[in-house]
Amino acid sequence: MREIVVISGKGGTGKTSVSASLAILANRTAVLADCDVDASNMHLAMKVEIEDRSIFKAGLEACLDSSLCKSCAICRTHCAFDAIQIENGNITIKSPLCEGCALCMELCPAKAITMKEKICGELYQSSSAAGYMIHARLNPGAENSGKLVRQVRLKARELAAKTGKQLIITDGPPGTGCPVISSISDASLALIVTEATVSGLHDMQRVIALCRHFKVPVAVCINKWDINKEKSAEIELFIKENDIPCFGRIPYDRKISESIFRREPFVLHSGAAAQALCDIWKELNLFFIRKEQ
Amino acid sequence: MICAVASGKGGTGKTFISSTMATAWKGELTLFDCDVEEPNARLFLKAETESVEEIGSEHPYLSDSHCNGCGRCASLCRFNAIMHSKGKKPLFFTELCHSCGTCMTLCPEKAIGRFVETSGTLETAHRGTMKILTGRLKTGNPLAAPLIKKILKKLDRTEENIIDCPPGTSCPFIAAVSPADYVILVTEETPFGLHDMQIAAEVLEILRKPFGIVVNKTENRVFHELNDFINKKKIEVLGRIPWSLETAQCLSRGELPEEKYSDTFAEIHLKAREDFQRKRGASL
Amino acid sequence: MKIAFSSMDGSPDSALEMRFGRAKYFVLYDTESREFSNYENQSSADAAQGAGIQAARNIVESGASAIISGHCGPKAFKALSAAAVKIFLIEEGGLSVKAALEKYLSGQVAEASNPDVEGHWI
Repeated sequence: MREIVVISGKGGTGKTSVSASLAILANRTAVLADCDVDASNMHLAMKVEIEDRSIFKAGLEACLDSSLCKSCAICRTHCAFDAIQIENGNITIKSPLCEGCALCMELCPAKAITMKEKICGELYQSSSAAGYMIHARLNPGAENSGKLVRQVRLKARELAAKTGKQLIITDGPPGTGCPVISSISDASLALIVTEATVSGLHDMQRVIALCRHFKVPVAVCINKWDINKEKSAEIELFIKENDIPCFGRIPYDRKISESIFRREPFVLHSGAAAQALCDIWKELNLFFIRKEQ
Repeated sequence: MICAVASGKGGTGKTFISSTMATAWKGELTLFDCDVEEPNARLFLKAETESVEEIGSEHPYLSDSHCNGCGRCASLCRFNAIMHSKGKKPLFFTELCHSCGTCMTLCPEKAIGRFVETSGTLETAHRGTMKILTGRLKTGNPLAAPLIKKILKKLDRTEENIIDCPPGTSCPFIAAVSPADYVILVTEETPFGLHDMQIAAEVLEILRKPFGIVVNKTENRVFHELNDFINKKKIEVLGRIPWSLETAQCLSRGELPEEKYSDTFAEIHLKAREDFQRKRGASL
Repeated sequence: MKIAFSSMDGSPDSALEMRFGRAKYFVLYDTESREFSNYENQSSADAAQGAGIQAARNIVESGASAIISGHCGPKAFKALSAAAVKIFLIEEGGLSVKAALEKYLSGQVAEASNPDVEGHWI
């Protein structure tokens, strides 16, 4: 199984647009996965239809039975997360702030607090023109995104096995935190989409270090490379010195923002950016052919 | 006023807006860079770091002589941060610890104390009358929210503050917007931008935070879905910033187009203050 | 002595689960009576975090003094070592618990002295 995870370090570099375009180029040979569960966007990049949904639960949250509460506020004094607040004289628990440690439940003299499983989001299986897509939505403020990412990946693998697909194209989350680690661990290739800016370079370096640490092979492509050619050259020099292949440069093209608007991956339109994407696709396939030999 | 600048989606221009807004303010102001995984406001503002302070989180440590090996701490810990096997002393995994204090508070032998472990740094820099406080997460530390909370303890409510928030809508975002009086949500005129902004708006409603939006990189087209959302929710639009290649190039070099936007951002800031006053008045 | 195997469904014929912390069951083999039993590990498989440590606690609870699995991360390794549980890792995927046991009994599986993967293993 080939599993390509598209990541960027910095947000807004065009990760989702690249992933969606690769999905189109795969021509229904891949299962698509959106691991950016905090702000999943791949289902907006193309037209999809949700076929199946399931609830994602993780961790616990405190629940107050106000009929038992004597308003002693011991819970409030001890809560390390400021999740217990007083509103109009009543103790209330702010669900997004509660991390589920259960200290309040243990301390409550009136036994007014219980712990219940926290519903943290939903998991979806959808169909699109490019094939099946597994995506998810983490509830606002919920944590455990790493665990939801893992579920998205497992579901995608399951579906790939079931439908006989040999490829998974994953749109990864931004940053270098826990959800990114969960997205790349054990993947066949991390494709980093960077942009020709100071922060694009800096964040790419951080995410390369992360991939190296987790022993995931890395390749880079530079988006909007011609916005700052000097910065692009700097990026290319850096990756060359670190023996990382550059799979392509995507020129800045105003048609891309137009295509996002119309929910059509930009590779469907003619132009230099679409051509660059086709070249990246070719490089990806060559990479796997060489690797598997 | 404490004004947080946030966006559900990355790359919408949050740092550009918070930094430029800070430079447009006439008078003393503190800018908190709480994008602790990738803080770069200071780089745009070209201010040299003057001092670095280590910021820590409290974690449990065991006083061996008091522990009788009962294992209650391990069974109480909901984060699986404590290993206990019969007849042995517990073993703490601080990397999983949420610093909730449950084990310390409930240990029957009072055998668990606190120690502070560095989770990141706070860098101080100045630029004219602006003070820049940058939070930086130690590499490999997965928990950004506790660090952000610690850094924002430095907020002085009597003064003018801007918080540059981390992207997303999970715990770090909540930690950064929680102390704010008002939140400026930065969005783009795309289905991606709208979707992520809607999620952020939902969280702010749960937290009862007043907010307004800035639409960045606008182009000459009408995005009905965004307009419908704004009208339906009666959201204050603080400003629209047209897309400009010149600005994108300037930012790509790590420079802020301050002069070009000075008036625009002063106005956005003013509008935010007015909207805050109005909404606070309405809720009293 | 009891040996635990991370497994998908708890029977000796089920496949060896390669991820120690995420195993739904541990199959237990008693080297004296030569009998199989099992121990549920759902609490760890579902854990929001610290699955490896929760699984290690369950191993201790089950009374096993050795674990045979596919991979073991640093935290689980530390936790198991603290409880004096021996760790044996089989890299080859697709083995059944029974096949893994045979391999172990014939001395083909060496005791691990270090964790072999980073945390956050999918």
